[in-house]
Amino acid sequence: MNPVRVARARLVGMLRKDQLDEELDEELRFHLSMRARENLARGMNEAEALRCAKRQFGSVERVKDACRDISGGGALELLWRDMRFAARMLRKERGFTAIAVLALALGIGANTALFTVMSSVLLRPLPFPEPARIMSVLSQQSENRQQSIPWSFPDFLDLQQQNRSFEKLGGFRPSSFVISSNGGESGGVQGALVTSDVFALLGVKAAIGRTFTHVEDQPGHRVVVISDQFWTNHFRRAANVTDAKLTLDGVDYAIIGVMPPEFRFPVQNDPAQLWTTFSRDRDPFPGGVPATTTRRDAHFLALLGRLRDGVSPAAATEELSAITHRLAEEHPLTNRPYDDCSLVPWLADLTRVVRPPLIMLIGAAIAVLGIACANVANLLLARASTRQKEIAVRSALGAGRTRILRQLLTESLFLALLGGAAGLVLALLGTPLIVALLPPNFPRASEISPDLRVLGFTGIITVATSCFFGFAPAWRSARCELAHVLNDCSRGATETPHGRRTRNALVMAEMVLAFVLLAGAVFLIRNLWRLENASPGFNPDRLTTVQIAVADSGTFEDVPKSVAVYRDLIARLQELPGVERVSAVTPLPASGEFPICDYEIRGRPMAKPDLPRAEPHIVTPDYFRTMEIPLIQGRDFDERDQRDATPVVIINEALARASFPDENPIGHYITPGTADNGVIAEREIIGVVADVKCDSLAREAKPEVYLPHPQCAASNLALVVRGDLRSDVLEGAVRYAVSDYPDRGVAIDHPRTIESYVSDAVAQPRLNSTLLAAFAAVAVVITAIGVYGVMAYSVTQRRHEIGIRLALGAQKPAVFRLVIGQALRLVGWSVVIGSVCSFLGAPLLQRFAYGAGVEQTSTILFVAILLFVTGLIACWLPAQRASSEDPLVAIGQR
Amino acid sequence: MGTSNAKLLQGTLDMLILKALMHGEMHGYGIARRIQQLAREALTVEEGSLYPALQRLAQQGWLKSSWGVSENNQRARYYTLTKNGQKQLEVEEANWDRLSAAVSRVMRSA
Repeated sequence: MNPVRVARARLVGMLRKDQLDEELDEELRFHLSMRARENLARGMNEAEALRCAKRQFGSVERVKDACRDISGGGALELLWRDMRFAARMLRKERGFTAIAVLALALGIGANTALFTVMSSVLLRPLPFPEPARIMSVLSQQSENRQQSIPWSFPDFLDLQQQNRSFEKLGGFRPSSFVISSNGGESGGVQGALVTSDVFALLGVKAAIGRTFTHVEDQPGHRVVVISDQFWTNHFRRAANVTDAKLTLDGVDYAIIGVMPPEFRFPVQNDPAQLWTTFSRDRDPFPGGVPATTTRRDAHFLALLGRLRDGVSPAAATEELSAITHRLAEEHPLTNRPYDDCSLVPWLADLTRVVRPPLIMLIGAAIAVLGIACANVANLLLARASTRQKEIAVRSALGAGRTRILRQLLTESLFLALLGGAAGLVLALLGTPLIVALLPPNFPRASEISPDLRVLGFTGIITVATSCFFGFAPAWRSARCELAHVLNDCSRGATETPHGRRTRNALVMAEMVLAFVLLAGAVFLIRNLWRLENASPGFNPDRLTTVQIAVADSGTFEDVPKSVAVYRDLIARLQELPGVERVSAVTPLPASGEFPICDYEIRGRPMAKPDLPRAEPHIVTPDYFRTMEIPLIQGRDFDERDQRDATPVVIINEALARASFPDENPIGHYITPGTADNGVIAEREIIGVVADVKCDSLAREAKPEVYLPHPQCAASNLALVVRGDLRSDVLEGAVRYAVSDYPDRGVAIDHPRTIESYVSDAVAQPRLNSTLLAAFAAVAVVITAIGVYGVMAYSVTQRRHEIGIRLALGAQKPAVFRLVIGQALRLVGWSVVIGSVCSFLGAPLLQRFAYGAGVEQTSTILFVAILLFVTGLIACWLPAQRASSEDPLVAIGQR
Repeated sequence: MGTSNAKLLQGTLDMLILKALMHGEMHGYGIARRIQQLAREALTVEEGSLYPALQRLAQQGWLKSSWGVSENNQRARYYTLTKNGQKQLEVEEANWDRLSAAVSRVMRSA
C-alpha cells in the first residue's frame, strides 16, 4: 500500500495511455483465443468455440474499463480532460470569455497590486535580526495618548540607566551635515546622530572597521561611521578609508568604519549616509550656555529598545511607565504633562500613518473583485441555460451529478486561472505606477516589490473567486430535469422565478457596490480639489527656494557673520534680472518641519508646563513682502531691529486670537523660549501678520512667532526668491556668490519651487482619490456591462411573450415601457439601497477627508443620478430591440 | 466448467493469484486455470475480475510483468511474484487462517 508508488504508476499510466491500451487489448485477445482453443478441443466448431469463449469471459469492454480505472491517471487524468474540454468550450465563445476574463483580471489585478504594497510595507519584517523585539519607545501624556513627542537627552539617560526590560536602549536623531573638503567642494549630506548602543541594538556590525564604543558618547569625541554608498562616492572604495578624516560642519571627524551596503537607518526614504555620536552636541555653547543634551526641556531624541529575552512588551511598558512617572514627579517643570510612556513595535510605529488608507484601498479592491465575480456569475447563469441540452444528454449517458458538477467547476476554475494570470500581469505592470504616485515620505516605498507571499495570495484569491462565481451556476445546471429538458417545449425551462430572482439579486448587488465605490471616490476627489485650492496664506506663484546651510554659524560669536553672509547673498541675488524680491526664513512653510516653542506673556505669570505654544520662525527683513503675507497690524521688521537693539517679535493672527482676543497685541511683551539658539529674551510685539498654513494645508493655522534674523542665530535659513527665475540659474548664482566665503562651508541644496512642497502635502490625498477613482470607474463599467447583459438576456427569454403581445395589438411604445419599466425598477431599488449604504458608510471616510460632512448629500445625489442614467442607457438597447421585433418572428422562435 | 461459483472477495482473489504464482511465472489465462485446478474445480474465477486484480497487484509492486511467447507461439504477458509479493502472500495467508478459524468457531458454536 505505498501511495507514492501507486501515484507514480498512475502518472506513467496516464502518459502512456495508448500503449497500455494496446497491450491490454492484446492480452485479452490472447486469453480469449486460449479459451477458444480449449473449446475446440472439446468438440465445438470454430465459430461456436469463439462465441462460447466470449460469453464466458463476459463484457470485454467492462474489463477494459475496470483496468483503465486502476492503471489510468485517475483523478488527475479526469482533471486534465476536463480542463481541455473547458478550454475548447471557452475558445468557442470568445466574446463571453473575453468579457469574463477581463472583468476577473481587473478585479484580481487590483487586489494583487495593493497586496504587493501591503506585503512589502506592512508585512515584511524589517531587515534586522529578530526585528519583532525592537520597540519604539514613545513619550506621551497619560490623559492624551494620541500624541507623542520626542525625548530629552537627560530623560533618555535616566531610562537607560534605570530600566531592566531592555537588552539595549538607544536614541537617534536625523540631521544634515555640511561636508567641506580641502578642494573647496561643499555639499549637504543626510545623516543621523546616534547613541553608541544603536548599532548593537540593531544587530548589525560594520563591514569595515568598527562602530562606536561607549566612551565615544562622551563629550570631546569626533568620530563618524559612513555608509557603503558614501564610501563609494567620496572615497572610491579605498581600502584605507579608516585612516581618513572628514570635515563636517567645519570640524574634523575621524572615520572609524563603513557599514554594509544594504544597511539603512533610520528607516526613511532619503537614507542617512553617515552616523556620528551625540558627543558634539554635549559640548556647551560658547558663553557658558548649557548644551541641549543637558536640558530636560529640549525634546529631540527618538528612542528604540530591544527587549530582553523573556520580557513581554506589557511588562516593559509597565516598568518604563513607572520610571517616567517618577521622573515627572522629580522634574515637574520640564516633564509634565508628558509623564507616560508606551511601547509600539518599530514596524507598526513606522507604518502607523499609512495603514488606514491602505486598508481602505484594499476594501475598495475587494469590492471591485466582488462586482467582477457577480458579473461573471450572471454571465455563467445566462450561458447555463443554453447548455441545458448538452448536460441533459450527458446525464442520460450515465454521468452522475457529481461528475457533471466537477466538470462545470473545472470550467470555472479554468476561467478563473485565465483571469488570475492576466490579473497577475496587470499587477506587475501596475505596481510601479502605484509606487510613482506614492507621497515622498511613504514608509519603505523603496522596498516595494513582489514576493512569494504575493504569488500565494494571487493563487488563493483566484481559486476562491472561481468558487464564488462558479458554484451557484454549476449547481443549478447539474440539477436539471432530464425529461423536461429533452423535450422540445423547453423554452420556459430556465425562466423560473428562482432563476430570475437570483440574476436580479446579483445585478442589484453589483450596482450597490459600484454605487458605494463611486460615492467614496467622488467624495475624496472633491476633498482633494478643495485641498489643492486651499489658500496657504501666502502667494506661492513663482516662488523658488534654496536651502542654505552656513556651517559653524550657530554660535554666538558668529551670529553677526552669518547675518552678514545672508545679507550679502540677498543683496546679490536681488540684482539678478527677473528677481523681484529675496529673503530668507527657517523653517520653510509647508516643508514638513514642525518647530515648537512656548511663550510667556509679560504680566500673565503661568507655570512652565501650562504655557501656550507657538511655532517659531526666524526671518530676514522683507520676508513678509516676499511671500506676500499681508501685514494686519503694526509694522514689519526693518533696519532698527539689529542685534543690539530692542528685541522684537511679530505674531500671526492665530496667536493674537489665542492670547489677545479682545485687545491690541501691539506693545505687549512675550518671551518665546526656543531651545536651539539659547537666546531667550523678552520681546516687544510690533506687528501682526495673516495666518500661514505651515504644516498641513487642511488643519487650522497654528499660532506663530516671527523673530528677526539679526537678533537670533540661525545657520540654515532657506532663501526665498520671488521672480521668473529658472532654478538652475538661481543655483548657479547662489553658488557663485557663496564661493566668496571659502573659509567656512556654505552648502546648498537643490532649489525647489514652493509649489512642489505644497504638492507634496497633497500627495497622500491624491494617491487615495486617484486609486479609488480608478477602482470606481472600473466598477461602473463592469456593472454597466452586467446590467446590459442581464437585461438583454431577460428580453431574449421573453421574446415569445412579447411577440404575442405585439401580435395581439400592443403598441410598440407600450412594450418598450414595459421592458424599461422592469429594468428601471431594478436600477431604482439598487440606487436607493446604494444611497442608504453610502450614508451609513460615510463616517468611515471622514478620516481621509478634510472638511464638513455637508457635502455628503450632494455627493450621494450626484452619484445616484449618474448611476441611474447609466442603468437607463444600459437597458435602452435591449428594450428597443424587444419592442421593434417582428411579432411573427418572435412567436415562431423558440 | 466449475461446479459451484463462490463469489470471491477482492482481497481473497489477490491472495489466490499470489499463491498461484508461487511456483513460477504464468500468463493471465494460465493463472485462471491453475486456480481452478488447485481448487479441484470447485472454484471458477470470474475472468472479468482477474485482469483488474492483476493490474492492481502489479501497481502495488507485488507482481512483475513482462511479455513473452506462450506454448503455442503467441505473444502473452507473463507475471512473476516479487520478493515483496512473497512477503505479502505470507501476511495474507496468516490473516486468512486467523479469519477462517474465527468464523468456523462461531459457526460451530451455534
